Amino acid sequence: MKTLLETIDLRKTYQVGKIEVEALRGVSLRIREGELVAVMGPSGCGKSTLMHVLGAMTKPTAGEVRIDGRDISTMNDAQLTEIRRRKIGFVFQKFNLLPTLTARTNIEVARHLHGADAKDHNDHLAEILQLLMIEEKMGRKPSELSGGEQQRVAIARAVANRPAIVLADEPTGSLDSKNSEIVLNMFRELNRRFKQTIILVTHNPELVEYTDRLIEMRDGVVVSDSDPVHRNSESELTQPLI
Amino acid sequence: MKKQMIIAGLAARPVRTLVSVLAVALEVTLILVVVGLTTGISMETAKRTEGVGADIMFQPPNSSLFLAINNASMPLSLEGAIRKIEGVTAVAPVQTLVNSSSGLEIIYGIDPDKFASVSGGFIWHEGGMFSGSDDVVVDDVYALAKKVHAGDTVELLNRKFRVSGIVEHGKGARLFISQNTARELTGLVDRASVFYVKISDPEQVNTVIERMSRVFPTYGLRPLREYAKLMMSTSMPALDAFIETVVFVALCIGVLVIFLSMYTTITERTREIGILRSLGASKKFIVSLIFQESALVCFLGIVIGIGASLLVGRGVQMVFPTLIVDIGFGWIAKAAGFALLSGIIGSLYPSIKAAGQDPVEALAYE
Repeated sequence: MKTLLETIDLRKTYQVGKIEVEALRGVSLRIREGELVAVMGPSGCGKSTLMHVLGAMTKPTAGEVRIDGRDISTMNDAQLTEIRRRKIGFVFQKFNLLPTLTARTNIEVARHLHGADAKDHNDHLAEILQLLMIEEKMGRKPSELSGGEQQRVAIARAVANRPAIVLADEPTGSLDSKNSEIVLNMFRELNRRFKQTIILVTHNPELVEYTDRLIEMRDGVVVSDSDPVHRNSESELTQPLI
Repeated sequence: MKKQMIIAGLAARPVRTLVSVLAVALEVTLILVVVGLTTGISMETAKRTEGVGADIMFQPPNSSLFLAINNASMPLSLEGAIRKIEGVTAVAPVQTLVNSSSGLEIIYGIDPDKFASVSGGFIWHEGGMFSGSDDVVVDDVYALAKKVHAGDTVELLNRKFRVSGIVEHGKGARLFISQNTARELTGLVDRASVFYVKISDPEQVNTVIERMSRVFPTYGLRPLREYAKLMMSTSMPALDAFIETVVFVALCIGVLVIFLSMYTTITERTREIGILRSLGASKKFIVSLIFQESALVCFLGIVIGIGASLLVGRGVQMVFPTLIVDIGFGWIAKAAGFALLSGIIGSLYPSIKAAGQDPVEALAYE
């Protein structure tokens, strides 16, 4: 399978007051097209930072991030915005729907930002809404939806434009167990049915059973990767790939 | 799509939206009513002065266009000398007095026959010309404002006057007394504040003025048909400064209100901005969203402001018939322009700040 996303010795340092915090300390990994990957680790291990860097939300301090072969680590703000628009779909723990708009308009905003070819995905969107079982809820505002429904709308918004990668940060973090199961099943279904590449960032070990591959992080580095292709070369995962 | 987002955003915060819209409306109303009043009063005064029917206004040296603020006066004997100038057919001396007990009213002290020789005479609604020193002739607008009829008493210059008659408005002043009464009240004997001059051929007004200026080189000689133009605010530096000050204050109100409204909007909606940025909204998109939202607030404020100004104008004229509020299209357009400008200035910093927010930090905002 084609490599969709690749990081090479990725480093990210934050300045917190006078102290420098190393959130990522040389992360190298490859994600292939159609994979459903879980990135797991305790709080503060750098997984959310990794998601922000992979999602072109922030630039790494050093190293490379390649999406579809293009290095985004040297891109300017406008180019990163374009990458987010074209390649990435985000799902957040707190849903992050626009509160003043209906579920339908929330999805339409993403399609509007994506541009004219969003119309090409009409059939895809209809299928997604059916799969997520939220067709009836489209006229409601986020405040009129349950947590599970809000998260399903957020998923629909994330995949509406057929992004290359869906990045989900603790997608079940604000849900009860029943809704968590529904949402995770839907991620799996999206992956199976549409070959959607999905990276789930979580500290919930139960989530692992829904994914094909588990990447574990600790203190800003990848400590294990169940990548079936590189299962026997775990040590190289902490080293640059090139 | 943007429209939906803007309308939903404004509708979600109705009180702030309403206050912002009303503040912009206040800005527009302030400009239009103040300018309307100053322009209206100036133009109405000018039209009334033109309505005297004279061709030339003859004033003392260094005198103002505003008859009410002229202290200087001229000897009545000049009347004969003016009459001798070729082309002059009639001269009407007028002594102006200012009654400030209830507003600012100019009273003309006139010789009825001479005034009629220039103006063509009054059109009478009620009563007739003053006969005694306690008589006053008022125009119909004044009569309506003060609710007086012929035979009623009015107080002017701390003295009671009987309204001897009511005439059609538009002949210089709203109040007319005899020259003798004016003399008694001012203590100035055989003096005139202004001579209204009628000439045989109005087309020759500049030629006659030239002849006059040879005889009276230091006196103020103005063709009456240019009076209205001269009275317009653009020709009066003091009035210009006043209007500019009002416009500036109104503009400041608009800028501050829009700034405050948009600043609090982007602060409250930091997370929403982060969401939009995560969806791939560009900085330009965010800036244009904030600008368009403030433009909509301004537009609503402009519409309400124009409506309110027209209502206030009508109300003022109903309550004070002597006050004219002239709200012209030109100033409506200018006021709308100023309101939009205040929207642009007021939302400039908030929109740049919103667009410049780090998407990750914006999403983490609680």
